[in-house]
Amino acid sequence: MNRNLFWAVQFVFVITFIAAFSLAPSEAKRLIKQEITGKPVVETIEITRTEPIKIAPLYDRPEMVCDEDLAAVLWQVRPKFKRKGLRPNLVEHAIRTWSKDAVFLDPDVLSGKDLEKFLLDNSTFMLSWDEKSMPLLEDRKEGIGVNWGRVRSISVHHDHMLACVTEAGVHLDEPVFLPTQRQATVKNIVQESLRDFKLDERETAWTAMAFGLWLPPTKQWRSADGRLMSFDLLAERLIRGRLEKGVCSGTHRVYSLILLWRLDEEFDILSDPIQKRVYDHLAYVRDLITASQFEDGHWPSNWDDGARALTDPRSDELKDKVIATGHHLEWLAIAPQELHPPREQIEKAARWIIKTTKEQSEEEIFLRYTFFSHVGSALALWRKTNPSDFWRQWQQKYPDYKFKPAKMVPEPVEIQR
Amino acid sequence: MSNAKSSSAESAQSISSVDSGSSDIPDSDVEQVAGTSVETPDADMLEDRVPEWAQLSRKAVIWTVILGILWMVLSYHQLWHTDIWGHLSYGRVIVEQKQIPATEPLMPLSEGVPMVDTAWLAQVVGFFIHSQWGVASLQFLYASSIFICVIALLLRFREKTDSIAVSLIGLVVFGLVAYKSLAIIRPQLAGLACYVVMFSLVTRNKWHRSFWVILPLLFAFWANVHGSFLLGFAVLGALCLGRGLDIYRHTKSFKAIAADPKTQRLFVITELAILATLLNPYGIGIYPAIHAISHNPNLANLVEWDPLTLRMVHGKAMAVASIVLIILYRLTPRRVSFAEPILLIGLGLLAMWSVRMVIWWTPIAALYTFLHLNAVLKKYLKSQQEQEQAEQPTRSGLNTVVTIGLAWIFFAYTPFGTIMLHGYPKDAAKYKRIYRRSVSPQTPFEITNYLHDHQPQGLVFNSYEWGDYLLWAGPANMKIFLNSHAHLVPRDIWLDYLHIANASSAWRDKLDRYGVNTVIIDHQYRSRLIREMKNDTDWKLEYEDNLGAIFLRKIPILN
Repeated sequence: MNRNLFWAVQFVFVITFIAAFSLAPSEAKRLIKQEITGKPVVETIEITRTEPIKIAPLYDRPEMVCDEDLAAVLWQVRPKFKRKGLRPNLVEHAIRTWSKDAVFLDPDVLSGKDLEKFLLDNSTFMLSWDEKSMPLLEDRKEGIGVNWGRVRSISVHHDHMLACVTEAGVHLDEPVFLPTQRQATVKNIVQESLRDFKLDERETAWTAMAFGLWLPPTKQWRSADGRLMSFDLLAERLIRGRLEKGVCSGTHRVYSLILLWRLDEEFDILSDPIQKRVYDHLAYVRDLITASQFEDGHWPSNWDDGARALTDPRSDELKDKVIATGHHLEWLAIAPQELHPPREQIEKAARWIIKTTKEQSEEEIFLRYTFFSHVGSALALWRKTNPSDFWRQWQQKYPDYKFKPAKMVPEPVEIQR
Repeated sequence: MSNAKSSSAESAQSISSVDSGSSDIPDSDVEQVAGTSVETPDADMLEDRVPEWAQLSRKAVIWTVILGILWMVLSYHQLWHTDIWGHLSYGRVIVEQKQIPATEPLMPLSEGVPMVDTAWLAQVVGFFIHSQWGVASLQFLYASSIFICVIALLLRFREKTDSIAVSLIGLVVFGLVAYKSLAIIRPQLAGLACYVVMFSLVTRNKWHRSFWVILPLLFAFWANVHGSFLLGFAVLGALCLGRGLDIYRHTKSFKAIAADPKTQRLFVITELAILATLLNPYGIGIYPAIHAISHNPNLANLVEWDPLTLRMVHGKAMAVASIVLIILYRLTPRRVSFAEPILLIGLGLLAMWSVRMVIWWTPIAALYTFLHLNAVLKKYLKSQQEQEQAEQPTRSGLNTVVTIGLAWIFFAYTPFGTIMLHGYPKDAAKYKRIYRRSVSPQTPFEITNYLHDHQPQGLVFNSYEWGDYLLWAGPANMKIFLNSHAHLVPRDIWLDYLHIANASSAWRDKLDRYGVNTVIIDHQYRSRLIREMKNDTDWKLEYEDNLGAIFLRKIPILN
């Protein structure tokens, strides 16, 4: 073969490959890098805001939730936790209810800042746990992860901690102190969540919330496995399957859906067909809870059975009733009126949950704190406020306020959800 | 030419003597018609007016019969009930949308999953041909793909010997070892045809200038019909490396390798082939995509991606072929190139890694089996071979006519030939019969018909093997759980599918979580789930036949 021709081919070969790589779409480049390094290459998703979006409450119904009742319920769910062995799940629920700005006159009650530090500062977390305990925060190769699972020292649900601090209003650049002392911020946690989230994992409600409150106006992004993610997909995922399936009788899915629907109103993050689908789905939920409410005002855990839940009732424990009723009241508080059951039904539910919450002893509330915290959050929303703001004003007005539960009940068995 | 002329002269003389009523004509050739004697001319005496270049030997006739029978067998082969229908469905999407989808378009649970469609051209061609000529045309495509492989191998065999028997042994090695993989019509067969043609061209004794164009074009085509073109690079690279090592063994000089024209040629054609494959919709991105597909963890659950074992038919066949090859290499007087062990061992290891790779080993094994068997036979049966070689094949126009006639018969009596000549029957029952004969008995034909009459709502849980057919032939808006493109199914979905399909204890919960109200499953592999569902109070058996069953949820999940 002609020598010059041979080298010309070599030249063309190299140049063509360089050009092919340069002109390749970003997804192809990502795949090439991934295959060469053997590790997932994840694009960093731009987050344009430093504070999470807040979903404003829509209604102020003092006739349904009077100040005294709200104060009593919030007293019941104030985060008065023993520091030793403090479970992150409790703290997460407390911070999402009370926000990062909560302040209490009682020094034994954890303030919003205390709650935030427990979750985002490993050295504070270690005051409650020892060296042998699994840490909540993990310095992973890929990013800053939040451990979750059945171990008591870690979060219970995937992305629950992120969703809770997001709802609590923690800033994106808030420092995060890791066991390795590497510097990080909440942004790193969000990015890690974007990296390790998979659409078809078992629980998606909290990830959907966190992404919804951080990412808009971004509507689409790529997950670590290259899947083109969108709020449409998240919404469809939340709709999928038997309604009751999911944590807290499936009610978190409904809350996340109304949250996405509300965000869509402002940021247009859903396509029109999916927006309609979400609305229709929520309307269907409305119809089911309209039909499944019991005479005393509570909703059962099988609320998705509609009228059948009344004719073929399930033997729910009190906690199941609290879960269903508290959570439904919570999503309804941020939903448009068209998605509400008749007003008297909501009022009846509010009456039942207020009465029930007020009846619980301090110990009982502590054991079921995660469920009752939603009640506090829901009732504050029905007063177009949040527990932190209401409590600040209430403390100013009644600095010596103390609530005594209406009745004491025997110590119940601890149930973890 | 002189032989031909003298033969013509003799024929002319014979004819003139017939005309003159010569008594040379035997009595048997004289027929009595209406009391008059009519003499039938001796065909051997007739002048052969077929141009010499078009005259064929008797062996050509025999090969036509052999290949014709093979063609007919292939043409009547029933379409497998899995992949092909999925590929046609993707072809339909591409044609309808006039673009290749960037994400999986047919499985709702795979929405957003990036899709690098390495077989897009095969899918489009398949869809187009099917829409023009129906199901028989797919059988034609199937037969054509394998036929091309056979012809490409035979052309190489013919370079070495005229022996039908030895050539057939080579073909048998190809057919028997790979027959399981060859039984399924899918774009891989188009890739295999490219592979065998490529291998046949580059191992030809004489390099033709046209190969500089043909081979890159072949690779460009290959890169658009199937992802197996990477194996083409491997084969070219192995041949180049083997050649280099051969040169080094003789010269002990690296310079000699660099100066060797054949090594240079193989090196450059490999580069041109690589460049040509960039001509695809994904450009350079196709290489990592193929690697990612082949390493998808979902494939580990599929039998065809399992490691090869002796328990499998492929394994046994490959073991026998390997033993034969070892014996032949021990006996062969032929010089063995380094490329041979590199290819046979390299592709053999690949085949042992995954059953699906056996198909790429077989053509190589077939050619080398043939080459060394031929050399061994030549050595041990030298006199007979020489005698055979001394015999000049008799060529004649009659053979050509017979060959053409046979070829026509072999074409016309295939399903595709019949359809081309007569079209499909107008009568629906007759058409249904033809269709049923063309598809494998495992095709869920009646189940699909039932679904047309009783359209399922929402997501349907289906057997993995039936997803493709349900997509293709089922109700237009049916939402299937998955099809046979397992690499496009998200990992969690795939694992859940296995939980349900294997009727693990979580199957009810999983079906609830997906909101499935309809389950379509087969008896062959999912009998346990069928049993469980028949005993479950939440589900009712809606339809059942000898292939499978349809279950409906008694109280549907509405969302």
